[in-house]
Amino acid sequence: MTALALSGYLQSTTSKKVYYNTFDTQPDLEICQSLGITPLYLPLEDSTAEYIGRKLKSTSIAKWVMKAPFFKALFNIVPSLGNMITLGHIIDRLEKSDDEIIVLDAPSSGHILTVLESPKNFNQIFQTGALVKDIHRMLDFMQNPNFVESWILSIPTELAVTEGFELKEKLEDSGLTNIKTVLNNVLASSNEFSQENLPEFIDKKLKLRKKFFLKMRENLELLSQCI
Amino acid sequence: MKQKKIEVFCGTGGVGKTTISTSRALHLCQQGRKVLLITIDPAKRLKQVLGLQDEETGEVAKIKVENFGMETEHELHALLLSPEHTLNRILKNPTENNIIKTLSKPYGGMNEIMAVLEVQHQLNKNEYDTIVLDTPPGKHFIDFLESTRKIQSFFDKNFSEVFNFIGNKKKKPGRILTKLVSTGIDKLLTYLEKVTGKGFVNDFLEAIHILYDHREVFLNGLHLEKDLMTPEFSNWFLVTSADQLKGNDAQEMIKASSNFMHKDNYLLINKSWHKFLNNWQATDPSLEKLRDKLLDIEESIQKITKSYSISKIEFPEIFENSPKKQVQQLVSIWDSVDS
Repeated sequence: MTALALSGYLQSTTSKKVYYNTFDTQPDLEICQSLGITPLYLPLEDSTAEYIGRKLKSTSIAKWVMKAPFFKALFNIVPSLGNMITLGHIIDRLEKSDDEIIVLDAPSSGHILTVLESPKNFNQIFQTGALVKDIHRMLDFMQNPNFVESWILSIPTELAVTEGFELKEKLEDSGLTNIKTVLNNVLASSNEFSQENLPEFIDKKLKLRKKFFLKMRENLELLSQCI
Repeated sequence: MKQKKIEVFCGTGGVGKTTISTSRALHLCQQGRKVLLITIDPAKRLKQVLGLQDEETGEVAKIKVENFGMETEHELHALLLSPEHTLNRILKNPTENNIIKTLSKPYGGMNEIMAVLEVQHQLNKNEYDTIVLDTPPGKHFIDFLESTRKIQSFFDKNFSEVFNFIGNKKKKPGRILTKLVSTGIDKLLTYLEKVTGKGFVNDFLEAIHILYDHREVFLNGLHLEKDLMTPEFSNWFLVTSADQLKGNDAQEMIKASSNFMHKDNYLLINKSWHKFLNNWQATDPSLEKLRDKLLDIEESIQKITKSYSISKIEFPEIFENSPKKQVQQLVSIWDSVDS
């Protein structure tokens, strides 16, 4: 939801074309349409065929390779290969066009690390050849704070916030620098309703939240990093 | 609720899968069952809940149940999945193959496949009355469920014949390539070589050879899918959360898992405020509005999932910040669910 909101915000505040992408799944077309956001879906098979086609300088050979049952099975058993190609496709597109922004609604923390580590891993695997040059280009792009901005969202629980900070550390280890952390779904006091006469359970929840913020502020400077 | 050999907890991120599955494992221990709790989520929040160390990843660890207010006679073991550990166990020795080594790293991308093989290994050992599985969030739990099919297609008998033909380990990669020319797969490899360089193709053939040498272990993992689809063997819990607008996610999850689940499955609505909201007599219009808004959020999951034949269990919000204390309270809710 927050990624959709960001897409809408960027669309209304910049002159660039904004696309919403959900990586290896199809975006919710209905919600995109109702919010006036342009979805961008890059099916793995198409991305891979296009990429291999470019490398082999033949689209028809690439399509034939992709139809080969063994390669299909290989892509299934090594999903990070597909991740790297999809990521490469997104980066290619952005490198070619200065007037596009792609908001990538990423998978959960453990899996986005698999995606973002895929160029580094395949760099180790290939070592030489045409692909390595491409991988270096991808890494340069991802590590450039002018091109990539990452937002880590956590719900306000100890487990989620710790996971968010672990993710931040790992993204930094991968060379990403422009990272922002956000505490989402916060139940906080609001002027919309009376603060007096709140039922015990809401009062208890608000007090627990306050205690949580204080603890996190002391240990992790969370509030100063919240947006 | 019948106790089974394996219980699977799935759901989107942030719904409380890890605390719920840990509480279930502790509850089953209290019933006198010997339980193994496995997390296959690479984020490994279970480590934080159980107080495990990074060094314990990949090894079965005995959990101090007294930390959760239970008597020490109860036995709970836990395993944080490590694809590398699982693969090394299968191969018997750590491999030097560059491709296998890289892909079996924590974020190398073979998490779900290795998870299937690890769970099957633990089932084969038959040391536990119940295995409780904490799965990765969202779409990745479907990847886990589909892993057996991916293994099956990779070790398809047609490929198998080709790779048996590749020959034994003593043969040098160059000779392997010569042999492949006559099988038709050489064309594919020639294209691959154009893009990746020759070194990769040799490593690739060696990796395939190593994996095919252990084909039987991989194919043994296929039993897991059949077992998971058997009502006598497994309970399924699709966990969703009432505090966020998770109705559509819950619906997607039910649809996506319908090919795998059987009649003993449950939609577990966690962090519910239902019972508190129903008892709340709001005293002014702004609070009435707030109550109605919160009730509306609560009921959206019920409405969206109404048409699906799945039993629903509601777990109330636990007013504790500490995950350990949350788990302790959730254990007592399982007592009432089972009774």
